[in-house]
Amino acid sequence: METIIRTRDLVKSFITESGTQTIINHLDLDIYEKDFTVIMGSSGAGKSTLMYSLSGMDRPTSGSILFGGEEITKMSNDKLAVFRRKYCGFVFQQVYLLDRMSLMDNAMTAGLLVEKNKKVVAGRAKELFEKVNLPEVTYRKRVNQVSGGEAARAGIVRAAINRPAVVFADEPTGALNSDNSTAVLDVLTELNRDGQSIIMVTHDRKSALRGSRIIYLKDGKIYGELSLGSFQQDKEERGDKLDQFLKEMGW
Amino acid sequence: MKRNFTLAKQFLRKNRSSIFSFSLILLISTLLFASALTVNNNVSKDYDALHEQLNTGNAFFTVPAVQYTEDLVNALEELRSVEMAEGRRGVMLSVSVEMEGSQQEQTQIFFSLKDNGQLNRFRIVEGSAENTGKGICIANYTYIHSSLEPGSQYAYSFPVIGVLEEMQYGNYASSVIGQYLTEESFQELLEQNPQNEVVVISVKAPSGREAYTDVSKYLNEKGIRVISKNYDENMKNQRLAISNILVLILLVFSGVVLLISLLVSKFKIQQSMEEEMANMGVLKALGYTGNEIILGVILPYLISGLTVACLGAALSYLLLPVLGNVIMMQSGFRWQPGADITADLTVILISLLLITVFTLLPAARIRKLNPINAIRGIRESKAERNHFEMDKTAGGVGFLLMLKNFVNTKKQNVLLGIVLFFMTVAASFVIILFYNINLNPMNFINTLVEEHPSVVVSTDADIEEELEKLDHVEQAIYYDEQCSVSYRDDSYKTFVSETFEYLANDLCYEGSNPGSDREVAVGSRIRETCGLQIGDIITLSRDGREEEYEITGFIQSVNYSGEVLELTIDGYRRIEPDYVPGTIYLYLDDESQAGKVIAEIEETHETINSTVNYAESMESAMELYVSLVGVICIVIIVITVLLIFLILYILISSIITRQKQELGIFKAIGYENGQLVRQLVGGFIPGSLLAAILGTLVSKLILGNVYGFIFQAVGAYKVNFVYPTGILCFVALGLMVSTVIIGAALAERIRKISVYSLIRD
Repeated sequence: METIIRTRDLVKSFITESGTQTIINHLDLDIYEKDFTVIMGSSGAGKSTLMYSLSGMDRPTSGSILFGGEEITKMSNDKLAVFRRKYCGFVFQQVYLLDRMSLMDNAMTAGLLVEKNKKVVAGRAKELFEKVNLPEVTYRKRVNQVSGGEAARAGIVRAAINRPAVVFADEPTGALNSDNSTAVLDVLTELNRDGQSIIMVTHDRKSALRGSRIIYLKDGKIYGELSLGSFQQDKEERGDKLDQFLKEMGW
Repeated sequence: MKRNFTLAKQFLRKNRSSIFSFSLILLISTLLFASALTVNNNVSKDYDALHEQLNTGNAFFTVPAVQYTEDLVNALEELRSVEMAEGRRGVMLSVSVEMEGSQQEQTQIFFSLKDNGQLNRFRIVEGSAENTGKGICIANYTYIHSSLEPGSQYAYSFPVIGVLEEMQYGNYASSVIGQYLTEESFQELLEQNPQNEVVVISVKAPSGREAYTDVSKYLNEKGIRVISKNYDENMKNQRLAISNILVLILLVFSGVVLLISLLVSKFKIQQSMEEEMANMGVLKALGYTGNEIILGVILPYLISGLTVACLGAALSYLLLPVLGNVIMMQSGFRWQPGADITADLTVILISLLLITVFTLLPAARIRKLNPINAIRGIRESKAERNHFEMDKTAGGVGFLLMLKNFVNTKKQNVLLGIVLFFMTVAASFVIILFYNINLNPMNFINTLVEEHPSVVVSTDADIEEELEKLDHVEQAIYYDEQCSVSYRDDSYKTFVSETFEYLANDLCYEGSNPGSDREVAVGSRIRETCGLQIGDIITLSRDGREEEYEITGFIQSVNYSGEVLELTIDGYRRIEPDYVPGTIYLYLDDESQAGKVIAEIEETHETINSTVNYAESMESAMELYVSLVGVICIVIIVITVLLIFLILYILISSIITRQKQELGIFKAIGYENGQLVRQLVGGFIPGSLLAAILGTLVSKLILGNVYGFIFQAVGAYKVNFVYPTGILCFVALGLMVSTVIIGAALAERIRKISVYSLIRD
């Protein structure tokens, strides 16, 4: 598989009252195309910070990030914005939909940034809403009129509408109940099966099982790595392998 | 109560900046309000106190000394309305005095310092009144407006030895200024000008107006010529006209500012409540009652409002001396502002009451708050529609988002619109004031004064046509301000002219000036007291001769408190058949040539009694008025501009802060900063545009009435202000552009914030 994101000597540190705190510590990492990469680690290990640095949402302190062969750390804010709209899709734990709009308009707001033809964008949005099992009556509602699970699935539609190179998911099931979590993970798994590269940060074992590659972070460095292969529902050894790995990592 | 304070402390900590900005606006408002109230409550009272302290007469009459006898005073004391009368000798002369840097021809009465009798006493405010050798104590009014001071030389080489205050001829309102000479100088002046000797009869009476009428009638019956006369109430109105205008301008302006600060506080509370909804839900869930939470929310506003109102009232004492100087410049009366607890308490109580009402309005919702819904962020209001569906509405994404932003922030936009509307009206009010006082002072002057020609020529010969042929003379008109007629037993000053058509200042505010010998125009005060209407027939009399006249219109006169009449020369002759007009008003095409024209007239016409360069006098009077009110105008403009920026800053930064997370989401999904700035600022435009247009329309419609109301307080019924639509549009455009610039400048802040922080904050 081809490398889509490559970091070299990546450092992200914050200045706090007690001094400089390094969250990402000289990290070298390759993310592969069409992979479902899961980033795990204890709280404060730098999972979300790494993910937001990789997606150009936050700037690293030093080091390089090559995204599709392009160095993104040197880009201006506006160039990064254009880069994000084309190559990245985001699914957040709190969903972060624009709550004064309908679910459809949330998707359109992202889609129309890349494709000017409204019909094309609307068509793609409807396709995705169907895929995530949201009927028209629901996706015409405003965000504050739908359930958490529905909002989370709409978040995936927005993330995927521009067929991004990578979908970044930050604890996408963190605020959902079991049924909604499964539904969201199913959609992500299906997207990945269709060839969508996904990077997901999670604490949740059940979510991590969906990944094809698990990266475990500790003190801002890669502490361990596990290859699980494509997700298959009924393979029990997949779970055992993950449990063993997490045990080794001190999970 | 302790729990309330704990809540209030928390709310204050979280809303520090908004409470600070609210306090700043309230401070400006209370400062102006307290100043205006203190001036309003005290200037008039202190004026009356000084009037009483100096035992000033309630009415006074200047008559030629040759017609005065001691018996006259005794006879006047016999009149029912008169308690006491006293005569004081003086010399009445026209003197060229330096006023505001230029020479002004003024009528002055010189008295002797020795004659500080029982009535109309004076008090020395600078220097001394040592009555030896040569010397003059000048009126405080002259002292303020000239470079004269103790030690300098006055006209006739009189050394200035002091400055004094007296309440009769202390300013130029009666068109006469009183100066006091040492006995030696007085005798010297009297010897040089025996024909100008006059006696000023001061009358003490319970009602100045009544005594004025009775004495006028008596003097008229006895055939005694009255050179100048006035009474207390009229005099006070004339002396305090600017003070009254100032108070009203400050009251109107501070009222608007107070209203705006309250609207902003209401908005900020509403916004804070929405932001703190979940926390309030938690507090309710923990057992706090709705009232406890409400008190916690409004207490910081009440405490800061109380503190700021006290501070504003205290700081007003720093502004009052400035206002005192402005008042002194017109009135010649030295007003020493003192503590006014009533004004301070009124300001504090009104502010507190309004803050309570305006903060309780949005905070009252807390009582109905369902704790669980609040914690979950569920709004109890009915579901809002999703406007402008993006897949169904025509237009680009930027335009659609701008429209959505406008609709979604409609509450803030409505408030921004209301505030901008009031700011447009307030700014228009101030700019129009500035335009008509500083840039076109003639509009202001015409509102407050009577007719003002370029040159006044006093002559016994009929030389009107000859004068009209002189270079630079556009018009020569017989005009006499010294006539008087009686109506219903009252004697009134009467402006008599051959025509009222070509005068520089049309005093008629309703109907028309008299055009024939059977017509009369009536002053505003006479109209009110006698209940007159246009078309009424009134009987005027003079020296026992009576004639009927039809009222064609009403005229204003600030200097004579609306107690004047207008007649044509032929009309006046019906009751004064021997009348020969002796004053010609000349109107020049270039007023700077007035001096040359006067020189030519004096050289070529031996029949001239006197000439007055009125243009020059007007110019210095204009400088006086302009500098008086101009100072206030500029102060108000500076405050307005600061307020506009402060309020826009508060509102727009609140809107942006509120949308911070939304902006972060937009940035995350790939929107550029420029797009977001345009989207944000574009959302303000429809509301601000509508507010600016409405504000301009309303200003155009109401400003005339507002100024009419303000100037009516000083007896000016016809405000000669102009309200150029271009200037009003310019004000509105300026506010619009400011809104956009401030909005864009504030929105630029989001450029520096990382997407990650925007979302997480």
